[in-house]
Amino acid sequence: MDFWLALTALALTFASSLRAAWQLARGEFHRGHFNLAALGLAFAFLFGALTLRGRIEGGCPLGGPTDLLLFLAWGILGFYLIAGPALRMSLLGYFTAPLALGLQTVALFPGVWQEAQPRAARSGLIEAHASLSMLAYAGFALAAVAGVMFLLLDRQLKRHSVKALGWKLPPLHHLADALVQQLWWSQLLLSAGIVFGLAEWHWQLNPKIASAIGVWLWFLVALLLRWRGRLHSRRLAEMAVGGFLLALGSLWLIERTLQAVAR
Amino acid sequence: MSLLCLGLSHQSAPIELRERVAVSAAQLGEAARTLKARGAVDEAVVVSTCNRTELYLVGEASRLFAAGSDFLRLRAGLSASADLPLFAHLDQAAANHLCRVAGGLESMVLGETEILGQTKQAYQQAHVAGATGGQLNRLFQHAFRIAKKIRSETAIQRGATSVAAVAVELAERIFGDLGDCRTMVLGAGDTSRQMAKALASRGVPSLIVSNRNRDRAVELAAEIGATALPFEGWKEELRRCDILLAATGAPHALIHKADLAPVVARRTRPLFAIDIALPRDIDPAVNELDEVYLYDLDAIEQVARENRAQREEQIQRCEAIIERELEAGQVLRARSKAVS
Repeated sequence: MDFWLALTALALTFASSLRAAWQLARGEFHRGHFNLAALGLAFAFLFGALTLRGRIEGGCPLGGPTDLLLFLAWGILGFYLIAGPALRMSLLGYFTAPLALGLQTVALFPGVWQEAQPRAARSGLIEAHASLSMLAYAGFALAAVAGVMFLLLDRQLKRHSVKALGWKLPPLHHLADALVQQLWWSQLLLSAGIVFGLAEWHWQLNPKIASAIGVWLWFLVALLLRWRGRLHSRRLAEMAVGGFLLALGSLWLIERTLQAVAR
Repeated sequence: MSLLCLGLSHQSAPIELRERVAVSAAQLGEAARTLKARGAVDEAVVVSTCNRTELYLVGEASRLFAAGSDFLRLRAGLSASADLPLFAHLDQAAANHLCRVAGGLESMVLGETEILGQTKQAYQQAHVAGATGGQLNRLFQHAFRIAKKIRSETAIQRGATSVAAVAVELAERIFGDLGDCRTMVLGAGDTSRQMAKALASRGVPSLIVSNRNRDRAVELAAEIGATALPFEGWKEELRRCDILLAATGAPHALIHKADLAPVVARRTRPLFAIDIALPRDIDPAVNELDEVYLYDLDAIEQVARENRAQREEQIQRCEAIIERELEAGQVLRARSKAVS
């Protein structure tokens, strides 16, 4: 059942991405609630899938690559639903949908998809660490989306060739502000996740916590430089995109390592 | 009963003739009532702008044309036998033409939006004057809905096409609301004046004018509600500005990359530099600096050209909307003829 719920979410995200791609290609952007509705429903179906998996697993559904990818996609859509209207970021859905689609597609891919299995009960600290860290990564993903939007508009403005998309994106300065806000909130979540993880593992480093700290340091440097006025928005946008790829890469590396150790 | 659209526009008549035929905004209702008072016309609306004067008339087809053309000849001060470069559309073609006019497809600046307001005003005045009836009421309301659809569903009005408007739109692309932007104007000539006025009219509240000749700076500052700054102080003040408008008469570049690099190094806000001077005031290498967006006249013209091309690409989509909506709404039999 969780598979079918996740598949329905995938179909909705696909529809949203397809519409976004079609409109971007045609250079036309209708005001409407299709993206919001499609991605809102996808969020709800993913929540259903994760709830079912969590019940089977007996805890927070973060037990393997399938769980991680679905949880990440769910978090990204959740942040989009909150941040989109709050930050008045037009076209955010156009860029968020393909990212969520990519994560869901990989999660459901034959060979990657794993049925939920009952597992040994984990402590509350571990559950808090995992869920807060993944939510933070979802937040960084949305910051990366804002970063891509910034870089696109920056490129068009620098080249003196503002296309239809450029006239519809939020203004550059708003994108930079939204990016900074999103990074601070995500950094806060990741800080809490790391504290819970360290508490669980008695303040000892392990690959999971070390990679989380690595990502945390990356964004801390970016935010501190920005705060001190020493990092231009373009560099910050590049660091947001790079940081998210770093976070995603570290997740992948850890999962592979853990699977290899388990074998 | 037929619908006739009869008139002349910038596409068919020279300005000397258009200005003689034009009806002032205050007299549109009266003109429509005058037309209706002629026996052949049951309903009338007169649309008149600087680029067109058009009559929308409902009545018996065989008598409408004579009534309308007599009215226009009279306004032009011509005899009844004189030729006027009129165009005429009947029924569905007239409805189609009205939608094109209201949607900005017939405007000199393709896609401009002012015409919709002018058409609404013309209809409103005719309605108040009692010159409209069921047919024109339905037609105009339908045309306004279609014009709004064209606006919202196509990019026909997107992107400015004049230098000042492009500069303002680019500034909005960078900063969003210009209400908290500080703008420095270097130079106090006519070009500076026009651009500074355009920025002020779009809500840039804080303008600073600096010029080698201080008296001219003070004069321009007073005219546009800005502050005058001694020319020696502009580099220091630039640190606090978001938009730099350079239009001096200097024979060589005043601002180089090396001058600006330390200014922008500690900023987290972008700097939009508009160089409309010839020869240019700002070294093009300045555009290589992070978060500095330099536009000279050629760059602005490039954006304007792309905007015009984008608008032209939208024409077919607008026409499809008009056709679809007219078919879905009220179908008038299509008959059209051109008259010279």
